[in-house]
Amino acid sequence: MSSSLRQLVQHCLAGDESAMVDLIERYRDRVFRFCYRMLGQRQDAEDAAQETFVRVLRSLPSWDSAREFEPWLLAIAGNRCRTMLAARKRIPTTGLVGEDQLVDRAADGGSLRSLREEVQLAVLRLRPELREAFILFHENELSYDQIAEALQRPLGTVKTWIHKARQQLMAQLRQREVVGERGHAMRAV
Amino acid sequence: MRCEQFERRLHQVLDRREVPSEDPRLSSHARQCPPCRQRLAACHRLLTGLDLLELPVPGDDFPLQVVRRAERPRRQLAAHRRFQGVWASLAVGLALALLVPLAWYAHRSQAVVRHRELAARPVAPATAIAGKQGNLPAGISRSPRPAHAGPGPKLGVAASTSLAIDRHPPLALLRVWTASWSDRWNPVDELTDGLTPITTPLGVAVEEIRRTIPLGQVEAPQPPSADSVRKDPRHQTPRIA
Repeated sequence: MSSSLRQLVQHCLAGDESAMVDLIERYRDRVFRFCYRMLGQRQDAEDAAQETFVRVLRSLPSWDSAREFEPWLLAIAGNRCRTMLAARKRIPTTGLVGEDQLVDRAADGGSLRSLREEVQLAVLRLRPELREAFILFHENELSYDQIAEALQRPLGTVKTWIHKARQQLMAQLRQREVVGERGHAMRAV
Repeated sequence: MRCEQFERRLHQVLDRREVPSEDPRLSSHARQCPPCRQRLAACHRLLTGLDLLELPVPGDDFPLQVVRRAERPRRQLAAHRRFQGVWASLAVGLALALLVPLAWYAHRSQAVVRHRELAARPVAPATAIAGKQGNLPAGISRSPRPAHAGPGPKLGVAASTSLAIDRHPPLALLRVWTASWSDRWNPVDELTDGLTPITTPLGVAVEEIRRTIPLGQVEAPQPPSADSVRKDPRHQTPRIA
C-alpha cells in the first residue's frame, strides 16, 4: 500500500471528512463502473457503489493494512452487487438495449455502437461469479492473485472462471456473426 | 499447432494482456483453420467491444452523499445512547420510588411485630431499664426518644425505647428516624389507658372476645320449661291475702 493511501486511511480513521471525500473520489469511478458492469443499471450501480463506500468507511478500523486496499474494496463491492442481484432475482436488462434491437443493428452492418451494446449484454448474461471475475480481470485489471484474494477463492478456480467467461462471451459473439452470415446467405440465394 | 493448442495459447496471450491477433503463432494457425479464425475474430470483437464500453461516472455529489450516509448511523447511535441514559435514569428513579416505600413498609411491619412481642412480655419498671445504661453491650447506646416522635405508646417503657448503634452512625440515624415514624404512626399508640393490644393468634382472640363481651354468650338459650315458667315472677299469680 502506498504511503499516501496509508495517510489517507489514517485521516479517515481519525474522522477527517475531507480525507473520506478524497478516498472516495480516488476509487469512485472504478467501483462505480464495476457495479455498473455487474448490475447493468445506473441507479442500482450508484446505490451499490454508495453502500460499498459506506461499508468501507465503517470497516476501515478492522481493515488489515497488510492487505491490498483495492481488492478489498472491490470484494465489498462484489458482495453488494451479488446481494442486489439476489434481491431482484431477474436478469438485469432493464434500461439496457433490447435483444431485438441488437439483432437488427447487427444485421445492418454491426456498427461500433451495436458491438459495444452486444458486448455489454453478453457480459450481463454471464453467471454472476464468472462476470465478477471477468470484470475484475479485464476492466479493473487486477491480477489473478488479487482476484483470488478478493473473491476468497483458489487461484485455479479464478482462472477457470475467467477462461470460461471468455469462452462464453466469444461464443455469444460468434453466434451473432453466424446469424448475420446466415441472413446474408439467404439474401444472396 | 492444433486447435486445442490454439485455444490454450489464446488464453495465455489474453492472460498476459496482449493482443491475440498480433501473436504470429495464433495468426498462422487461424489462416489455416476457419473455426479458429472465427474464434480469433470473436476474441478481437470482444476486446474491441470492451474498449468501447461506456465509462459511466457517478454524480459530483457522490462522495458527500456517501459521507453523509456513513455519518448518519453514528449520529443515530449517539442519540440512541443519549436516550439510553435518560431511560436508565428513569428506571433507577422508578426503582427507588418503589423500593423506598417497600423498605419503609417492611421496617414498619418489623416494628409492629417488635411492639407486639414487647407487649406480650411482662412489663419491667421504667427505672429498671433507664438506669442500666452501663449494662448495654459495647457500641450500643441508648438514645433518647426524639421530641417529634410524640408521646409514644402507652404500653410500657420497653416499647418506646429505641437503640442506636454507634459503630454505624448513618445506619443508626436511619433506624432512629424510621423507628420514630413507625412509633408515630403505629395504631397501638392510639389505644386509651387500660387497653392492651391483642397479641394472641386470631382464633384465640376471637374466642376471648366472645367470652368476655356480655352479648357474646357461647351457650345457646335453653327452651322454657314448666319449672322455669313457674319460677318466673311474671307468670306468678298474685296471692290474695
